Amino acid sequence: MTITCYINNTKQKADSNETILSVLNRIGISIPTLCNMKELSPTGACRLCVVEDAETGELITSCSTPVRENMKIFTHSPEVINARKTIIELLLANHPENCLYCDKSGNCELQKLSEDLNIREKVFYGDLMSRKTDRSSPGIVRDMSKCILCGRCVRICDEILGISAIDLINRGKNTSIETVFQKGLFYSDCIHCGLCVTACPTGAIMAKSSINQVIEKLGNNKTTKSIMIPTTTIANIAVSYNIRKYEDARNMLVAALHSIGFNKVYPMSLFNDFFISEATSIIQNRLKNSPQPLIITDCPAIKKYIQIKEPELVEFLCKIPAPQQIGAKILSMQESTDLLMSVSPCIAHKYEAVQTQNTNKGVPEIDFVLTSDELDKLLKTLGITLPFTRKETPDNPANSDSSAGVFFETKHGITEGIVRELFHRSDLSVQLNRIIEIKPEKDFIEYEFEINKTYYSVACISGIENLVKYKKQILQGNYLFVEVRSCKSGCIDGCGQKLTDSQDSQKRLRKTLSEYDEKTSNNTPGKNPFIKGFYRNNKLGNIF
Amino acid sequence: MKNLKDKTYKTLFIDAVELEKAPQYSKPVEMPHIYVERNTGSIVSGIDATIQYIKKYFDKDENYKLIETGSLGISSFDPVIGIQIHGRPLIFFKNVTFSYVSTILDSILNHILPESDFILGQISHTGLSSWADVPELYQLDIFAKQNRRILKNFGLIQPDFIESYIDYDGYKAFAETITRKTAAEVCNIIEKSGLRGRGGGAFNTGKKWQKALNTGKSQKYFICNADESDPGSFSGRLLAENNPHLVIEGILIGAYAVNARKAFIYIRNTYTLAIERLENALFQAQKAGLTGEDIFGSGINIEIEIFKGPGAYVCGEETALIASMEGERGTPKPKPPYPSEDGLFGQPTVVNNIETVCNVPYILNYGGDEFQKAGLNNSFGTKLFSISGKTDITGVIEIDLGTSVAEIMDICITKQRQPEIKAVHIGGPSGGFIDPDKFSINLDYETAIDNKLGLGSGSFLVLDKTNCIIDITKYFIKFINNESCGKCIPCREGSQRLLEILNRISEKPSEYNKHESLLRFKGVTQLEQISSLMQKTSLCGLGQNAPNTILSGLLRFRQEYEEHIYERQCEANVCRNLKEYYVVVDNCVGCGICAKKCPADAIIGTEHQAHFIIQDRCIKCGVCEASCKFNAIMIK
Amino acid sequence: MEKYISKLPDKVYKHELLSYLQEFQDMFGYIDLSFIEVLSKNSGIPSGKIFGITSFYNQFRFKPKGKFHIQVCEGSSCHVNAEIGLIEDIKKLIKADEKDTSNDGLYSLEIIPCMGACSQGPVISINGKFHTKVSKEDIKKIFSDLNL
Ligand SMILES: Cc1cc2nc3c(=O)[nH]c(=O)nc-3n(C[C@H](O)[C@H](O)[C@H](O)COP(=O)(O)O)c2cc1C
Ligand code: SF4
Ligand code: SF4
Ligand code: FES
Repeated sequence: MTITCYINNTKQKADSNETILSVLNRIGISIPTLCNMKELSPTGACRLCVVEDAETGELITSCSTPVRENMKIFTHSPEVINARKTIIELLLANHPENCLYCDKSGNCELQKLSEDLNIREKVFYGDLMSRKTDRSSPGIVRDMSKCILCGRCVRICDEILGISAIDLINRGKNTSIETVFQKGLFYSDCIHCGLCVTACPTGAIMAKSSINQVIEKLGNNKTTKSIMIPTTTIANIAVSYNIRKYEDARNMLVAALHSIGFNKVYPMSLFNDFFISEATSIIQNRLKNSPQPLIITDCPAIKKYIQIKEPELVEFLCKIPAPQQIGAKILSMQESTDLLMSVSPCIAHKYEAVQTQNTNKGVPEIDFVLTSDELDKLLKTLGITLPFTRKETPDNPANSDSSAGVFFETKHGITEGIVRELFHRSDLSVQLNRIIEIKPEKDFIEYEFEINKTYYSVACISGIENLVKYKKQILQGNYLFVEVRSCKSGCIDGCGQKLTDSQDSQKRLRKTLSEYDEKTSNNTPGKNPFIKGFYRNNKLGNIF
Repeated sequence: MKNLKDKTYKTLFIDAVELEKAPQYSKPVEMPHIYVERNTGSIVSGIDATIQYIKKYFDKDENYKLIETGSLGISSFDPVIGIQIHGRPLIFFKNVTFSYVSTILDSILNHILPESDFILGQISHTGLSSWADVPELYQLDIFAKQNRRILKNFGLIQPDFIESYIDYDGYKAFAETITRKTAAEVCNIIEKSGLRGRGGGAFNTGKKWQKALNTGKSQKYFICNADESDPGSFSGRLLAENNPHLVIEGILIGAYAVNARKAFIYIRNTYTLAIERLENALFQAQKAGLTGEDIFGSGINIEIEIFKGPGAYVCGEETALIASMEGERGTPKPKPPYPSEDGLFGQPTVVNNIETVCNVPYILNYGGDEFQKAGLNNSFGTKLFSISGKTDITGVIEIDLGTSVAEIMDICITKQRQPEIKAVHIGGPSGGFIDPDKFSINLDYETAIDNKLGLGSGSFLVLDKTNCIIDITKYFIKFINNESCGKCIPCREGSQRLLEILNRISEKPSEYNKHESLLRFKGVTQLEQISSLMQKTSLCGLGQNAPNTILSGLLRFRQEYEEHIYERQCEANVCRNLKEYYVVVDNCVGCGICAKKCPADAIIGTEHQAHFIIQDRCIKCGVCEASCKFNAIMIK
Repeated sequence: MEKYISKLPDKVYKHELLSYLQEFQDMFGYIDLSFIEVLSKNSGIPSGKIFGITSFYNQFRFKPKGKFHIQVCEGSSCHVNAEIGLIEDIKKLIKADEKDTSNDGLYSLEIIPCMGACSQGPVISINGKFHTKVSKEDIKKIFSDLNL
């Protein structure tokens, strides 16, 4: 039902089911919020979004109150501003005063709010918060003294994932965010998807940084050092520094990394090719009859999620490890290196690197995993300015890749690669660049194709919460396979890519990768010379 | 429906209960009947030992009857026993700890009155020869000044026997309601009576019921809120413990009126005796056909279940209470939606305070007009107040809404002692202070709000000169700070800041710099600023009402705040960390006067040498400073 | 305890959580991690969440009770009638905080909002035995008389 309301004395139309906040957003009035989350029902916890009901003079939360017919609202009356300001001042009273040393500085919503509300002086003096820092996880640090208890991380972990590795504990002044029996994230059900890192408005939950250790290792001239860089990281750099072409960004990055002491730099595309090749082999066997569902993913978070939340799906999970671990195996067959590092668009791979199956007598095969953001910071710390002046080609064997391996890391990249490779191996003369149309807004897509007069269909699910939503389809859909990615845009919007977390830059990122893909003729792993050579000596389908 | 109209209601139970079992104090007895008032308060005061001694006294002689009843309501009389012997009316004795049992029994069984210290009063009755010079129980000031409707017969009713309740006309209202009235009629009667929720919100109960009754959904719930966790309020416990059937009757009528087939009693888990008695009472009610299926052939089923609240003050708030029943953290949710539309398990749910519920049978028995004979303005009926603090009596009293503070004072404290009273704190954590100048105000809902008070669930804490307003405020704010659910920022952080500020002004500065003194001085304005934020923006009543204590304190006892801040002086000498006395060694001649005068033996030293104050012992009375002729004692 | 845990029904509903926890707490005096894990398995509610819920309420403690379980009333009546710093004294004496158990396992402390004996305040109870109108001096004596 359409109703009329008056906002700051101007007449507005609204739907009677709408909240005040949604009306305000629609007409372009911005209201500060902390606890409100798109897609989740309002909790009304932060009280920042209050507006004044002109009739009663009461302050009401716009996020949770529905509009009424003839309602009159003031969104920025002195009383409202004053209340919002006092709320933030209360939060600042016991917030650790070390913004200068905080990783979040510049990106912090609390900082931004106090700036926007023009709080330029400390009003209340509280006893500074002393809560524990949880460093147990390899990927996430939770410095709870910075937590403002907005509850966003908790709700993401609960309402989106259903994992609840962290929850609010205790009550009143002792409320805090904790894992079960306060044992630490590593010992909890945390799947290291990084959603809470993205959700947290302050520096309370952050990706764990290994920059300082890496810098120390880099200073040692006697050792050999190698690094693998994902294609999304390269695209991330390209977009952040306005480098048009993927290959330029890649080569600049290679040169830059060489210059700070890495002997070998390997784009991940080669190992993505391996992933595709291996997966394709498994699937080729299923072409005749595909009795069981098959879930394919390169995402360690999804794998752990399935183990914890949907154990009955475990048997359908494709066992191929993620490209970085494939890389570690392939490289160890090639030549030895003292230090092997990898970069990742998110923190899940930090966790993957220390999972027992990826360690050798307790020593991880990969020594450090940095996020894209950390890599950027590392370069800055070591005096590199991007765009870099020099370009160098990637090191052997990663100088050989296919564009499917480059495109692999975006949404439906796995499927695209596998289908291409299937066509390629079936000697079909189809146009291989861009088989599946990209639909950024869709969480679930199906694609149907034909090989030798038989039709097959595959599906892609993006977003971890959609695994449960589309579980029935996975189990009963008769798909050749289903690709599952925990982030909505593949790896592009991983939590380690803060540099480019706007919708717009994600679009540009995707474009950078697909433009490269569309013009490259080496477009499927089967056409990658190194892969071809490798499989002459090793049998497909059983090296891992 | 069977035609039950012409049956008298007691015959409805005839098969299930043996009414003749119920002892009746108005009838003559053969063997001695000993009434022991067993409830939480009296257990702590030692009633169990008293009971043991009574049994021991009679030993093998089985010619006596021990009757376990509930409380009269006044816990400072505990342990209370009543004795009725042949030909004599029931007479009550107070403070009968075990050591006095035999003395009292010795004399009374021989028709002689014991020492008057123990005598409370008697309930005379025609045909029984009254005890000479013993006052009538109900004519004692303490009872006569009350208007005991809900508390009627408390102390006589045996909580563990449904017969006893029925004997005092219990379940009459329910039996008549379910057989003769429609749900809508009941809602109407309650609405017209003007009964308002006693849980703090003071919302018209009948209106609330009508709303729930008229929602389309078929599954509905009725919850009796007995999660009384406010410090200083114990009326809910009194009701549940001492007359559980009254609570059940009220709930049954409520559930019937809103068409709920399932009702719950949400009661705090620490109320063990109350839970025990409610459980037992529910069992009996079930046996008597009062709950369960097809009650009295009406075709209506109502089930009542007890939910033991695991303990959190905020779970008294209805949405938090519902969350906790659903197995969640007990945090309040934004309203709307209201529980009457979307409550327990998403179904329409009526939540009513236990005292509200206990008012319902009265209204149905006597009618709305009779109900309205008590009360003032728009606040009808009576209200239970839990009296505690520096009073002569402690316990629950029932008075008309709108009674003035002064009148309550007259009930609970003697005229001579009244001038010592400095303030009354009414309404617990959501209430506020009131000073003697304002003792004339009437405690009805509107006047209370106008005076920055909330009646809350009726706590009435009396403070005298030895209590410090800042300290009591700190006590309540600390409570809020602990009990806030921690969800919304104004309440969680606001109460934390308030507490920090209060601590700051009731302690000496830890370092003597300008910054700290400035903070102390800013204290008062910041208290006001934070209070106003909490009132306006907190999500639930806990945060919204918490500042009442601060604001009423600042309004009526501002001087006390100022003394703390500017003079570092606590008149009640409660805030002992405000200052530190120390000996200026250079000035001290070692005369020893101070050491002699110090009431706490905190000053030591040898003659003619500088003395020394042991801080741990010092009670900050200031005697030493006043007594020193050499200005050798100073304050830090 | 294991026996009790193994008897838990296979399907536990969310609204029953608290009553199971209460039953466990009543029987064993505290909530054990293993119980939360089994509850989580049988109810499908993540253990982190059950911990969050459990820790919200006063009733549940996560450390076994001490040999002497001390309940102290902190009601307003007990507060106004008590000597200043009474509860602090008790805490110091038994070296345990609220909801806590002393390291030697001797004492555990529970602070009760009101024990229902407002006329007798301040009230404390040790293993169910009440002490009324206690002063700081009384406390010392009560504790020194305990049979350790
Ligand atoms: C913090 C807080 C605590 C409350 N505690 C209680 C309580 O202990 N008992 C109660 O009956 N109502 C309590 N209430 C009021 C309830 O939310 C609710 O209004 C009441 O149970 C409705 O019953 P009534 O209409 O009969 O008063 C509390 C409210 C708040 C905000
Ligand atoms: S950790 Fe961050 S997201 Fe979670 S409650 Fe605290 S501030 Fe909010
Ligand atoms: S006002 Fe306090 S108790 Fe109420 S929701 Fe907010 S934090 Fe919780
Ligand atoms: S955004 Fe509305 S209360 Fe937080």
